[in-house]
Amino acid sequence: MEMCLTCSVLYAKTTLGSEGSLGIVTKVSILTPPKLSSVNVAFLACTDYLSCQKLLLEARRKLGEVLSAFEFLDEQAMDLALNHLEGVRNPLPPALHKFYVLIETTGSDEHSDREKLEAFLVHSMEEGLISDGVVAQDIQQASSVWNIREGIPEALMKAGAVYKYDLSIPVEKIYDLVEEMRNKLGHLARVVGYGHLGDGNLHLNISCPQYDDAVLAQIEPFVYEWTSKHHGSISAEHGLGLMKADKIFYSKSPAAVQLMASVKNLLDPNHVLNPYKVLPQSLSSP
Amino acid sequence: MKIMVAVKRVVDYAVKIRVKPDKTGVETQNVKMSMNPFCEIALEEALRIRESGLASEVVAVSVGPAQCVDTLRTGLAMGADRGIHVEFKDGLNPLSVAKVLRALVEAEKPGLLILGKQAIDDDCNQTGQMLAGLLKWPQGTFASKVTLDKEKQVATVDREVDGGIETVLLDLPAVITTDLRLNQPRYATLPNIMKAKSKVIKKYTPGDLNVEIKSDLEVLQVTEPPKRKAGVIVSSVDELIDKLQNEARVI
Repeated sequence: MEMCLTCSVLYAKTTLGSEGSLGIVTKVSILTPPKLSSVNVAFLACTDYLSCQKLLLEARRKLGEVLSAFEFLDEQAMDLALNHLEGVRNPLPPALHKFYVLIETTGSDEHSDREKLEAFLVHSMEEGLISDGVVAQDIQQASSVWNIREGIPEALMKAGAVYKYDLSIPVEKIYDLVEEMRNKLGHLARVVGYGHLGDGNLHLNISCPQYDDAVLAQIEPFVYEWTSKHHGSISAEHGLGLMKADKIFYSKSPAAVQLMASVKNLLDPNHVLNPYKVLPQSLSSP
Repeated sequence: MKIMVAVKRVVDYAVKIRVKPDKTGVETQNVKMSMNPFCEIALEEALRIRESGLASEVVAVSVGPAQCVDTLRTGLAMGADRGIHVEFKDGLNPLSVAKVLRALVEAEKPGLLILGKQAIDDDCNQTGQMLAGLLKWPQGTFASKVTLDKEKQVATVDREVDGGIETVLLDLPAVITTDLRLNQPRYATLPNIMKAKSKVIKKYTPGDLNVEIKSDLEVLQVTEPPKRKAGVIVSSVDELIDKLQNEARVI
């Protein structure tokens, strides 16, 4: 979506991503390109996280402009999805693999896109980056594969209590956090990792039968400190909202937060726009 | 025993189809095409029979334009051993396809033919039956379960009929057409996609098989079904009775 910036450029760019705390969108004008008809989806198995990273690099190189999605999920995520989602089957039976990658290409030429994708996949398999994989043959198979990835949040919800963290971390470090968290929690909970690998985004989810303060104490503030230490963002795509407003300092310096508060005071002096969100309470009051 | 499976290239089942403005047919330009879902099921069943040791070879056949090769490649990627493409540009119909398949049967001599019960573009549900008629072979249509007995050379087929399930016993060779509940087709795995590249697709024209493609039917017009009218919420029983009496005229 391209934003029509005939209105004040600064204002428009500032309000996007402000979680409703700087302004409200009242009108949208959308210019849409035609939907490309050639969509291909592949679901692949990798033996370790390093392979997932290398695969991402190769996908960017070999698929280039037609690469439209690159998602990863780990064995625990897959296990949960298979056990808790309706009508979902394992595309790579019979065993579970350590890591799965979903690649989607979107382009204008069915034939050449398919050949490009298959050539890339065959090459990746020969290089040992992928241990197995399937390519969806029609839209229904493609949807089934996407349902696995997109159904993970639902599966987590059905499995019991879940602590969710949406983090931006340098790609090469993403899975280190998952493994450290797993070591820390041991039998207490199940640590699940998945996300938009192409964007350096990790959805870290900790699943246990019930909410438990002992578990929470092990997770926070460790996860925020870890992310901060590795120059990541504690809120990648889902925003800070109410729950993480006080945690903003893990990702932004006090000076940056002060600047944000100043902008907030300028645009919303009475603090009526989505109060208590994004900025810490102390800076939120007028 | 060799199994021959006929597969058709159709508009993907999940696509929202549109009628062309000139009403001559459905829009197929820039629209995703895939293997007919029932044909996928047919191929899956053939592969399972081969994997259980009751058949030695699965041959996938497609009749149609050049792009049918893509559909055959999908079949080969699923696991078919080889493919046959009978190239014909436009104007196919079930009887012509059945005649082409009969000619191929005479050349290939399969012990079993499996087809989808119907194609989702024309919904004819005729090719399998016509083919069985032409070959004078027994047929088990709308199969929801297939069991082969190699020794007795028979196939037991459960058929989905309006009243429930009918079970028939067919002497081989026979024609079976598949229904939805027969199986769930497999994904094409990468190793099989790689192997498929070196599998052979043999080309024929209808002329090579001494078949003349002709149609006794002419499509006059294709239109969308009439749009369903929105329901109306009535405010009282009297109003309901009035509408039933004077508008719907059913009482």
